[in-house]
Amino acid sequence: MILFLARRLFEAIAVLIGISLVVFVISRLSGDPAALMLPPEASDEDFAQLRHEMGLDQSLYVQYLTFASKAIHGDFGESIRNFVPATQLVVERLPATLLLACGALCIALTIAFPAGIVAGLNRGSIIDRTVMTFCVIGQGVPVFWSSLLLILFFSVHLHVLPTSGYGRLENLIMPASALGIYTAARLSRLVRSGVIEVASQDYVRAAHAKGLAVRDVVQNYVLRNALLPIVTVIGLDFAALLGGAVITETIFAWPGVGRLTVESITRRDFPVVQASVIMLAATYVVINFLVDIIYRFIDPRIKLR
Amino acid sequence: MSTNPADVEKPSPDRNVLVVKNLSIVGRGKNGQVALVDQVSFSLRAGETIGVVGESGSGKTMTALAMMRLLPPNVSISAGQILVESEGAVVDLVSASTRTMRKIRGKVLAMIFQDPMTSLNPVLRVGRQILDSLRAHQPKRMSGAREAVLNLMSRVNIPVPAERVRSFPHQFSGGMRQRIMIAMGVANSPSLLIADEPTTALDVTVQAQILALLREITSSSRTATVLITHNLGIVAQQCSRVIVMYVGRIVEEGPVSEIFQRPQHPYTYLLLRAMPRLDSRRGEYLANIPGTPPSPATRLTGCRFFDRCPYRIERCQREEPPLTQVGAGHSARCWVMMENSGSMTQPR
Amino acid sequence: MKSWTFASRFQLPSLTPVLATLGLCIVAIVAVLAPALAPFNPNLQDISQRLLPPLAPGHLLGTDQLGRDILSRLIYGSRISLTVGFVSVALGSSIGTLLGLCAGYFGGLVDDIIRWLMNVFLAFPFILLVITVVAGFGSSAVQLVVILGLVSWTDYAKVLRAEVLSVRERDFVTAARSTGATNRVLMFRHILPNAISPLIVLGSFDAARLIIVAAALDFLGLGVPANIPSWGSMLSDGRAYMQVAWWLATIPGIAIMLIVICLNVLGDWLRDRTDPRSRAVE
Repeated sequence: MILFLARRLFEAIAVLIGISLVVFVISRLSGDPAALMLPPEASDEDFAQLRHEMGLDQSLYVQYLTFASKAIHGDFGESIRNFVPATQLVVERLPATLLLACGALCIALTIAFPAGIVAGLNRGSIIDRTVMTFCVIGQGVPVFWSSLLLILFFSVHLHVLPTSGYGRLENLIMPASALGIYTAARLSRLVRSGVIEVASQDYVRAAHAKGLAVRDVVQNYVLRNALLPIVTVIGLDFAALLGGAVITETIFAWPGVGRLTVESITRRDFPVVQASVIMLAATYVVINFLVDIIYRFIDPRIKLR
Repeated sequence: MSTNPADVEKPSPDRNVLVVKNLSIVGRGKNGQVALVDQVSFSLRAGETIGVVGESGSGKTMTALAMMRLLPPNVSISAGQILVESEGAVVDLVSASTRTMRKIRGKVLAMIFQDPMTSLNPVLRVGRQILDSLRAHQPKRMSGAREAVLNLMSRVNIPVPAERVRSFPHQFSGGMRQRIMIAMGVANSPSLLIADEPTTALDVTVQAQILALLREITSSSRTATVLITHNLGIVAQQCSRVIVMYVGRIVEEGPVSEIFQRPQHPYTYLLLRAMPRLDSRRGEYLANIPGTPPSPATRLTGCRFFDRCPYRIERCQREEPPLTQVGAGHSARCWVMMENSGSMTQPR
Repeated sequence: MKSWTFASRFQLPSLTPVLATLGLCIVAIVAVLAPALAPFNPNLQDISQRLLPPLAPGHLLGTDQLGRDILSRLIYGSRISLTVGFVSVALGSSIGTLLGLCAGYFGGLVDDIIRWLMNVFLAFPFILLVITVVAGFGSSAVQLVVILGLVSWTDYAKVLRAEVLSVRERDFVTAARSTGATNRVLMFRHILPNAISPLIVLGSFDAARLIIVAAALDFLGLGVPANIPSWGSMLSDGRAYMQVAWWLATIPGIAIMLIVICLNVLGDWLRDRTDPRSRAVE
């Protein structure tokens, strides 16, 4: 157990280092930060001085180490726009993104579990076909389109929901729904296929052979086994929702990290971009790590030595 | 409870626990329906153990699953009756409703499956699974449940049950898992136990223990047993009667002693000859039956064993022989019969 | 009637894979023959004809805010989507295949390094990663397609590595190795052809994913330049006019949805056919 933990931890740290490397490389390759901060007419000495101040005249190796050591302390520099520390900007927006991701996940789970279970337990029936059709459509609808459609329907035509804003439940419903559709469809299929695969296993047949009531068989023999692997997927999907809410946040003017990142990219505000991308990626790594550990606790087949 | 008055065997003092009449099972394949089991009939009395022997694909497992009405999704019973007694009346399992089957499974009939690893729920503790067997047929017991489970575990010789009751299936050895399955099977004292190759997945040393356990449990409770196996040695040990199946048909049936001493069907004879014996001479080759059984999908006239049979005659290809009585309780499905072929015929 | 496995004993036949393939062929034909099929130049503006609803005379699907014919823009827009679907997928799958092959075949340190790289790439939110790289390196149509390919290799590598690990142990590989075949021959002539079938499934799903991402980038204005008609940018245009012209935002979305559904359905069907673990009703 300890060995396993240590190894996973080491892998996670290696990935974090890799993330910082990739971000560093991309930002260095994509242009000279100093050139952004000074007007083009500035003299060469001004450039040289700014570069020196920013540490850009040192070797790449040193630059990276400085960058990385600062990053570990959460220092990504200041936004070029308003000189607020980049980290602070990102952290300020984090709750909004978390809220959106949670909302989307809740909606997704509320749809996916019943739909997937019912479809899986009635394989080949009309209801199964209906659920599958919804899944296929749900996985085909792009988020930016469903967002627009929702706005068109609920805001423009029915006037029951606001098109943007933040703070009340009405503001959350549409973005969370748009974001959650894809996840709902995907999870439904996973639940369904999990149920189908388990339903034909030998131990389910043995459960029937004992004369157990159908409800007991479904609950304790089918579902317990089918839903266990889904737990890891849910964890990872949540992590993916955090970073993937970019479009939704933009359309609904949701004050989250994704929208901040896109705006910063267009404004070439590198410190903020670096901060948010690295923090999002790091969050993913952490969640991944936790999910792995949790799964080992809940699956009795995995021995904890 | 449905019965067909014309066919019902009246319960007699030494009565039949199970009567299978002309059971036929078909499977739906790519090219239409395939007969997997064709007109199998046999009956079983309380306390009797009957062996069902055959190669893979002979239909023996399908017959067992049919009795439990647990056939795979694309396989179904096409004809026949399976009669058992439940709650004082005779029930035909072929036409019984799902609700009736739930009452019968585990209580009147119970089944032990071949692979105990895959037949036990991996995420439930063992005690809980045994308890499920008990609770399926008894009102929810608040007290006495734990003792009942521990008693069952002791009865199947699981050491230190109190400690092991909270363990998971993967924490047991193969032999222990099979004991757990047996415990679940006999939990409600069924009148009929179906054991589908209960020892095939186990080590040889453990096999003997499990077989001994089965013998002891079924004899003390007078439980009738259907023992499915491909191993004639096991049949010799455990069974009083045996049915030999080939490509879905019964080719020979009768008392074990009869069959072993005077097998009539060439297939049975060759099976017996193929058994490794301790007293065989050194350097003697193991006999085997050349060829493989035909797929059930191939349409053949005549005897199914024709192309592998060393004793065949021309008639065997034209007409399929009927099950013919050759002795007391002993029948075989053959035109030639080993007695007639004698020792003069050399295998081709 | 249900069996104990909770499956109906009747299985309805399915013709959706046929429809899906048909749909994709139609899109491909439309994209290739766009100049011949489109009634108008997709960039031709005519303010006097702006915001006409569908079924207006001469404009089957209406016009946008600059008077451009939507049907023509839709037809030309399919070119971008299809190019992404083919070229980016081809690029990503090639890179991913190569890396997965090496990782699975050589094992050891090579495997560790490639897996590390995979995990690093996977940690980034895909869209954000693409946006960042595109913003850093510029966004012509070509660059977009290439970047999408370069960033999407991880799924292929993961799948192929797993396949290679299992194929590697098979007898014919040992046999070939014992005749002194070089690594390269073993990898490419023996192992790769046997490991490749899940890739086709993945390619189908990946094409769907990349088409959506490319459209999303176009939507945000970070994708192909504005002078190239694309479904994503059409949607973005439509956003401002939703109150008065619902068709601007709806029609391109339908197009994207249909092509993605076709690709997903095709991928599902391929997976059912090639996955040995899926239980066939036999």
